[in-house]
Amino acid sequence: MIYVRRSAAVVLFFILLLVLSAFGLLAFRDGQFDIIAAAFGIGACVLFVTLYNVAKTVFRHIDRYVLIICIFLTGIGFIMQYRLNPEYALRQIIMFAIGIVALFIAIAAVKKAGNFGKWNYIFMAGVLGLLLLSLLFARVIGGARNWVQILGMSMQPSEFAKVLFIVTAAYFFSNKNRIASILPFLLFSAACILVLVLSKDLGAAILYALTTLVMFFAGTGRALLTLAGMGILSAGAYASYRLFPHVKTRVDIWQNPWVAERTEGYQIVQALMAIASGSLFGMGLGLGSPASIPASYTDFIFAGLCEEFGIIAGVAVILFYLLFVLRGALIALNARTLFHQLLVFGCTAMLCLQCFVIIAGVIKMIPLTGITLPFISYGGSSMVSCMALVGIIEGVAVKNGEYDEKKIESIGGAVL
Amino acid sequence: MTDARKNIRFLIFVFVLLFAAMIFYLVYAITVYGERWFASPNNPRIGSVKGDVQAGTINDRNGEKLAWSNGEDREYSSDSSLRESVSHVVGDPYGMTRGAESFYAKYLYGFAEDAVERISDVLVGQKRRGSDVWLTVDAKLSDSILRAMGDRKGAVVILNYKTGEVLASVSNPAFDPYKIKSYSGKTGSTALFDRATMGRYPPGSTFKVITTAAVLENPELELKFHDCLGTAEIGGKDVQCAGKTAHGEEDLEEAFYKSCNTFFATQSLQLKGELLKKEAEKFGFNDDFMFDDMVAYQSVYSKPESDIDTAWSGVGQYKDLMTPLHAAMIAGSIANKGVMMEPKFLKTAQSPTGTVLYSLQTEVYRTPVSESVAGELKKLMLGVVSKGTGSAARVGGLKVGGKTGTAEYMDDKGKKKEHAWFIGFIDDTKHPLAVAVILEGAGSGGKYAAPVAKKALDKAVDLGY
Amino acid sequence: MQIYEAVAYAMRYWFVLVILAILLCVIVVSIVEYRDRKKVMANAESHIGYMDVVYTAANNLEEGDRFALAKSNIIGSSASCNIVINDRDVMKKHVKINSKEDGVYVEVYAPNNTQLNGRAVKNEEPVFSGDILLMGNTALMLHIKEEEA
Repeated sequence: MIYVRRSAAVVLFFILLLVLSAFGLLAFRDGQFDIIAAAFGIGACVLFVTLYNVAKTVFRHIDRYVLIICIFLTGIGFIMQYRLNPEYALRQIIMFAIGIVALFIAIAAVKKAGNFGKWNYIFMAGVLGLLLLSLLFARVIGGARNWVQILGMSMQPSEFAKVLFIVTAAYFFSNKNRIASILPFLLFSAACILVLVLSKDLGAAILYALTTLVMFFAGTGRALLTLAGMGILSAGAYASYRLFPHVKTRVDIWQNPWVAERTEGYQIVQALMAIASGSLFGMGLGLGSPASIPASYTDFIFAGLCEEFGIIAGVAVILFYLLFVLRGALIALNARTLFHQLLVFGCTAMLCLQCFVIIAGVIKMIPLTGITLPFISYGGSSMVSCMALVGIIEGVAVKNGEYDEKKIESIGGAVL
Repeated sequence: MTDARKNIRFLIFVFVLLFAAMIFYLVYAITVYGERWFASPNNPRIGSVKGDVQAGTINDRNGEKLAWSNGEDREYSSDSSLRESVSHVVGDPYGMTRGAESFYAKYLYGFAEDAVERISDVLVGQKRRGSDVWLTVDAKLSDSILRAMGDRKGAVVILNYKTGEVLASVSNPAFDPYKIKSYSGKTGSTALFDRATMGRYPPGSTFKVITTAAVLENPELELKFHDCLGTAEIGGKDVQCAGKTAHGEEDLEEAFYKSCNTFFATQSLQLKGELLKKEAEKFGFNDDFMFDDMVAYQSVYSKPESDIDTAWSGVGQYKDLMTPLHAAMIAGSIANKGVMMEPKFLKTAQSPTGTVLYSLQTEVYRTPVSESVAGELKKLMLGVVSKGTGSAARVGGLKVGGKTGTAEYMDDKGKKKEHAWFIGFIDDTKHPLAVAVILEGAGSGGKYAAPVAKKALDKAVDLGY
Repeated sequence: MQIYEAVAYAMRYWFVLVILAILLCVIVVSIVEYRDRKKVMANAESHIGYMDVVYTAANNLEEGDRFALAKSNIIGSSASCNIVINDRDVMKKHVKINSKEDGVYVEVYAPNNTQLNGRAVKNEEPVFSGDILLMGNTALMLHIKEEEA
């Protein structure tokens, strides 16, 4: 463990180096020195260092590298956001700060509250409530109705709901290991998905559905039922292809966007051109035209990243997400109770799927959906909820660490 | 509890696979399609640097300037016929056509420079300059070809079948790059369309080359002799030779150089659609043609099912479509011992400081037939020019082989018309040229396309190719 | 503006380098940490507890020294023992502490010189956390993992 402590600081140092050099460069973008850019860079670094140090001091056993990867991705996110629109970057960093708070709350919650017991029913109500909120009161953005205006800030309730959803899923899939008892939860899950589909937030619907299936399989191991679930999902997907015209459009332009180059396919075509223009090392920070891609700072941020930093960096970022998932999985494997295993794995799986679906959509591997790339995309609710998920993961890591420590103590720590 | 662990491990494995697939897909897509996506006319990045960069010069293979930047403007050859003849190959800087201006934008607008050069440019205080490119085409050749075509619509492609270098790719009607803006929105004008690489026409009798290749590769089916009565009934319908001429008793050689339809229709029936399709695809039909250097539309071969369809398909009059570029490639492969080279349009690209950024590498596209089959086909095609329908293509002192084609089609007024085709080659290692000519609606291939091919080949040999 | 362009263009390599460096570090450390933990936990798993030296006259031990107890431990003055005590009054093979189905036992080879919690020991007796084993002039306090007892 002593080994880990030192190296984590080294990696953090590199991240700070990256962020500072990037913001240093951006500061000169318009010829004159942009003091805000420099301040932003320094501010971000301060936040990162504080977060890291406070977290590892308060919670001795957190998984440092999960946190580091998180910091790295957020840092890249800041760089890209600032490059695209400094105002959004400012909002993003504020949301990150809020996210840090959410992180700590989540860690503490997991640490203290066993499997949340009766609270789960309240959570379930909360999830449905939030989703219905977006169905009834939301504004339509990009064909999906999931943004709600509260106090002048827009947020996506489905993002917050997903955190609670995973907790309840873990509870029900671990509590009673028999189909008859899991069934009510599956119905609940179906209800949530239905509400999401009605809100036309198909990306979130897919995420919820896949996460449910994944957690179901992890908890019960019933391959046949899981496959049946996948079958239902596919049928649902096909049905939505037939029923919703905008789904059909999405699938069509996925297959060949070049026919509608200037119209429906414009977004994906621009994204592909951006990625291609980046070639290996990118066009250079500030030198590309990522703004030509619609939704460049949310859904298509990955394309902008590849454009300015290159394919190598793009692949590296994908690998970072993969490492994050692997570390999360490790924590899940080391967890001592089924509930915690499912809890961590659920969070990891959701982040993993989110990441996969949006990046694959941007590179035209699968049809596009409207989800955000965790930590890098602009989006307050996305940032906060992802931080909460990380918090849950770290919370279980802390519990794992405590168990580990006890075990080592039982042999007097003599083997270290 | 161990149960869940096992499941989790399994799912993790699945996730890793998903991500690996994603990385693989990304790398693959960019490697294969990256250049093409970048060169897309809609790419705003190219447009955005246009003000800051002095675009490089496009030269023909001998250094004759075809397009260059003078301050803010793009200038072209002062000879109007010359600049029109290379207009499709050169393209335009506005993304209205897919020529060199967009396809090689990477070089012309300085995207391929290395950092050192860029920095030194800044230090010297020089405006960024793009790199210059040399195309494989010869401007003078293109010019004389356009003149030879007159006002007949169509395309001519001449290439070196040993290296794949395209010496001329001319499409008529051509456009004047100085007046390109006036073409946008102009209905009824197809001047911007590059017929050579994107025009798809029924091959007509030129397809008999492929049918014959199928016959030669399946010796058990060969019909030794055939009695041509000028017309034959197949599947309840008639297949006729040109002008219902009865060619009498003939062998393969005669049937080929006389371009006898009934002979090849009968052969096709024996071969059946499956074999014909296989042979066509060996020659590159139905392939996406992802060439590095240019956009070439796919040549299409649909498998015929009924007898009468198979019969017509064998003489190139079913649903099949071929581009002139592809036709030249086919002719070239026969002359080149059965090896089809990938067509190349870009010879070199050089940065302003003289660093060579690109140098042409010849690549084999595919090998449709063996050397011996190619040899036999070559003999048959030489026969077409020396004894048969392609006599107008004779070039003094050199052995020329080819195949004429008269492809029937319906024009948009419902009238039956004929495209004139000629595909051929010079059988001489010192002049390894292949040619394809198509004149839309002109009439008989032997009468109209072959002479144009002759003029093109004459000029090419004259210029030393 | 051109300066910015040139510099940004050159810095592309720098950014990619740093990102790759971070990636490499994270991968390497993750692997190392994983292996470390596996080793440590396996150790913890395979050991049944530990022993602390309360006082000793041996020349290779000090008060407060700690030894992990494996499933089977032979303790004596011979160098081939699992735990070596260089005490004049400790026999070459003095005791064996090992874990059986129903608990941890101490087997004594030198009954004269051995005491458990102040009493003499017959050949074999169960031991528990907190017991003090006296061999020669060395006293060891035993801590046994709960599961093993």
